[in-house]
Amino acid sequence: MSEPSWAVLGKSIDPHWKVERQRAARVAIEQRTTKRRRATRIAALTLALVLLAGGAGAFLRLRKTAPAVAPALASAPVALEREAAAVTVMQPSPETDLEPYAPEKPRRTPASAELSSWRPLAESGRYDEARSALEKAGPNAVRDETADLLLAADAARLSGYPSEAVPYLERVVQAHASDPRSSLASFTLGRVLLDELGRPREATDAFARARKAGGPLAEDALAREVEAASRAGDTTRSRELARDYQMLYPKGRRAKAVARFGGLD
Amino acid sequence: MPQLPPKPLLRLAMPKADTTAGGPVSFDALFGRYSGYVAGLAARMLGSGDADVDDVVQDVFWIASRRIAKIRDLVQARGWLATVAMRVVRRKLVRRRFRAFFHASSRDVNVPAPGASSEEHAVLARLYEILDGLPTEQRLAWSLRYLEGEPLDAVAASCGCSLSTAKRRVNAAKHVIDEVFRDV
Repeated sequence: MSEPSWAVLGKSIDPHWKVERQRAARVAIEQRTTKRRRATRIAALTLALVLLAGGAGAFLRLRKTAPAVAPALASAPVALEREAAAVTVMQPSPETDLEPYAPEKPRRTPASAELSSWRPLAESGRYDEARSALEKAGPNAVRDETADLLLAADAARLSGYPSEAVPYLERVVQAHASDPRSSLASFTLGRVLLDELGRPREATDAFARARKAGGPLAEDALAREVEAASRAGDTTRSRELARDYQMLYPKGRRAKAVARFGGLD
Repeated sequence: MPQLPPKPLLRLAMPKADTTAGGPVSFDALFGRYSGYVAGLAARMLGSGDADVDDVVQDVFWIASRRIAKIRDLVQARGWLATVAMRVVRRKLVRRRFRAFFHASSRDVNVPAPGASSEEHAVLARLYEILDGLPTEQRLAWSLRYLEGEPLDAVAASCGCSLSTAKRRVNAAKHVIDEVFRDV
């Protein structure tokens, strides 16, 4: 047999490409186009959502870590407000003031490598670590400013070392007496001395200073002064103070406790 | 006084674009003109007329539909479609060979040649058995040269290789095929 003519044989190959197959191919291509468009839209939407979530997460993280990475801002008014808010943990509760002090559980923030000094640790409620850092840093680590002294006192007191809080609070009371927060420092000092350290005589003086400073703490300070005097064994003074309380606050919140400690009931 | 012939009116509207000569190409025009050509090319390259051909046509025109904005000339689109078709067919042949590696029985050769005699059918079946055993690049080059009747430079362009490489591939395949059919 002679060698076949490949060109002729090639031309004889016909895939029956009729109208139906053309139409089916068109439909398939259109379906693919639609699917691709849909997939592209879904991918774009997913990407946009991921970017949005990532941006929001980064923004929130930045907001949380901003005070930690910029400790120098501690002296700025905004930081002072934050510190003052942290100190309000010490404010007396109307119902439980005469009960043993139970501090609110500090709100914890995520750990961060930047939180190396005691100040941001204390600001973020990590008092144990703050107190350790403060101990390592030495006494010069605390600035002679009301906010810093109160924060250091918080770190010591709320980490279970109330005696270490006393010098900081005394420093506020003595060196920053004109500061509006000195009455709060006096009141807290009284509570630490009375409830934590069992030194009622010194607590009496601290509550007396808080009372004399006036303000919203005056009534509580007088009531606690009565209690401190009573516990110190100074019944004369406790009775006098109890009478003062009844006169100044005839319908006071602490009337019952004051009458009991003052021996008036 | 003799009257002058009326002046021809100026044509205000632009003439309709002649898509057969050049200019913007619509997908409908491209598909209508070349889907049969691509199907025939695929059938000759693959040696089958079944779903494989449909797949190749769909793949080629799916790519064309995404690149339609870049296709400026309906005439020159033929070469581009041939090149794309060759790539798609090459992928298909590689997959077919991969599948055959795991199958004990060989593929049934069913060449769609309705006008061919029974003797020609037998020759085509034997030819595609031989082609199935050749390297894919050699098979494509030889098929383009002899079954499709393309010149060597077009073979090189469609296969994406140099002219000398195309020649070498064609000759290598031709040598094997000639050896077989000389003995027939």
